[in-house]
Amino acid sequence: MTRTRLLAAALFACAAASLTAQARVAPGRAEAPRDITGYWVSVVSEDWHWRMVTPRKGDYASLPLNERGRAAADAWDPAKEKAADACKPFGAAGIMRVPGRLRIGWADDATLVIDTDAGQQTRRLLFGRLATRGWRITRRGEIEWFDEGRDAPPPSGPPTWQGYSAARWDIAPDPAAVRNAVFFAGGLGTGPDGAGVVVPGQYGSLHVVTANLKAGYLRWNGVPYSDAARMIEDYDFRTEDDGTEWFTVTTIVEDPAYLSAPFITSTDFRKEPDGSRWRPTSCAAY
Amino acid sequence: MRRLLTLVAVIVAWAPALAWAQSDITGEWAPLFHEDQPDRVPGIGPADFAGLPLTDGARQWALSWDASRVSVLEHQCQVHVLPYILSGPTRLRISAQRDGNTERIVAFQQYIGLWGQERTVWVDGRPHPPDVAPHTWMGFSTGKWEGNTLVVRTTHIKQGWVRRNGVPQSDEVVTTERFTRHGDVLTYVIHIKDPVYLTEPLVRSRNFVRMSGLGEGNWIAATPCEPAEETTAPPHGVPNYLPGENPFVTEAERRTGLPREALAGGAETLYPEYRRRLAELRTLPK
Repeated sequence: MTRTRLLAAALFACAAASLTAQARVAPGRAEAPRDITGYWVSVVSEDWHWRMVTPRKGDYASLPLNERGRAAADAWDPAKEKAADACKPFGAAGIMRVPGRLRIGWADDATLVIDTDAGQQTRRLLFGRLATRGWRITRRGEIEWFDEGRDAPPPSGPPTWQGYSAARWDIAPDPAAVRNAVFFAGGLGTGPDGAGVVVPGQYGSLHVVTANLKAGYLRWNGVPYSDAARMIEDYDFRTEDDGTEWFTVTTIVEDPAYLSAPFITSTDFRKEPDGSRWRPTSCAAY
Repeated sequence: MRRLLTLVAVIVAWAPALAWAQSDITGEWAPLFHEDQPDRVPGIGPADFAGLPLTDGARQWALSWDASRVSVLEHQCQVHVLPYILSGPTRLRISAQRDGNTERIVAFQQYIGLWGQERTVWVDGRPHPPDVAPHTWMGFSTGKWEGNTLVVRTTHIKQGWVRRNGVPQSDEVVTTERFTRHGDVLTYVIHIKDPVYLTEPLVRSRNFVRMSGLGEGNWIAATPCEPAEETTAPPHGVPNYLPGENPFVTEAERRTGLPREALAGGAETLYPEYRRRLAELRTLPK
């Protein structure tokens, strides 16, 4: 009897360990669900009139500006811009909407680097500093979100155009886990045999939180974000049927100074075969 | 011993079930118009095709299109086709359809508030119908999960438009949509492949935010359409412009301040280097 209890306890421990393993959020390069390094080009099929050209002063349609934000945008005067302001549209909260190319690579196992040719900016995404988060099924068979641990606070220091970015992978469990989850929870969209249409392979989002930003522009025409802004991004990578690789980054900018609500966009990039079209251009020359 | 074996079986099955590969996208979602707002809400002006990878045929079609066409009896009740409708001012309700015997999900139903459209996304592994099957506004859709993303392929869509100023979409179009949930934001990406009117896939990404589910008053009631004569024009005429006679081409140049070449669209207008071309065009004498 005692042996039975011991065995049962050991098996429960294994189950708990499995939970940890399945739900664990990966620390960086070793756990990346796919190779995302290389050159990517922004495909400007949205907001073309606001991204490809500088809109007229005061054109802040679709942006959830508060009164202060509108006043700041209305006060924009390109003639009064100083040399030091040239990179304002290239700060982290605006850079992904700038037409250009990205070069993504790993600086080390826990640091993903995104270089931009437009404005010659460098974003450093640091892994291992965010709380873990994901799905799991409780012992009562219920599905719940978990959000565990605490985010490490940004280091102190002067704000910068690209700020401080903490990252984690939100990785979907493998299909085998799903098949078994189906047994307990009914499943979401699996085939008649409980397995058929869950695509094998690894998928997941790259989740990034950015703070400590220097004030910049959300739009070329001086629509501002402040140094109190915070940005949350989710990068979703995919391969289309024709073999082209893409990612879409969903970006939420929160700014208590100039926005009345979070500003949410999603921006599309396609992978390029090489860096032959990479054209580094300074902020001032862009 | 039998009890022990039962316990082992349950735990072995349970352990990998502690993770969950698919997120719950069911519920009610409201659109955000932080992107492409002029195109999606008031409607972009005529003869403006910037940022669309059009074929010459598509451009000619769009230039011959007269907005008065929507008042023609036969056109009054045309709804936005699938490649466009989720860009429109619509709310979206997604619900799961389960097999009554197995309780497995066999489809996701989508209710699209705009014109009360309904569509079904089959996730039970069924094939698409043969090419000769009828085409509808919403087409025929099948889905599969890639991690936390529901990937939906749709064929059999009626001829329609990809922009509300007459830019056409053929009935040979095939779309791939991706629904990915990030907390209370649902990111929607659509690849539109149209061998007749597009030279390369048109990619759009939009965002929806989760509604409480209690906002009954927030839904637009069903909007049935009954065609009626609205004008004094001769019946059954089709308003149009002959080649070279569309007066809105010049008007679009004045309204946007952009050169005719940019407004004519084409794949080259989607990429960062087109900014240089724009700079050249804007310095050329008119």
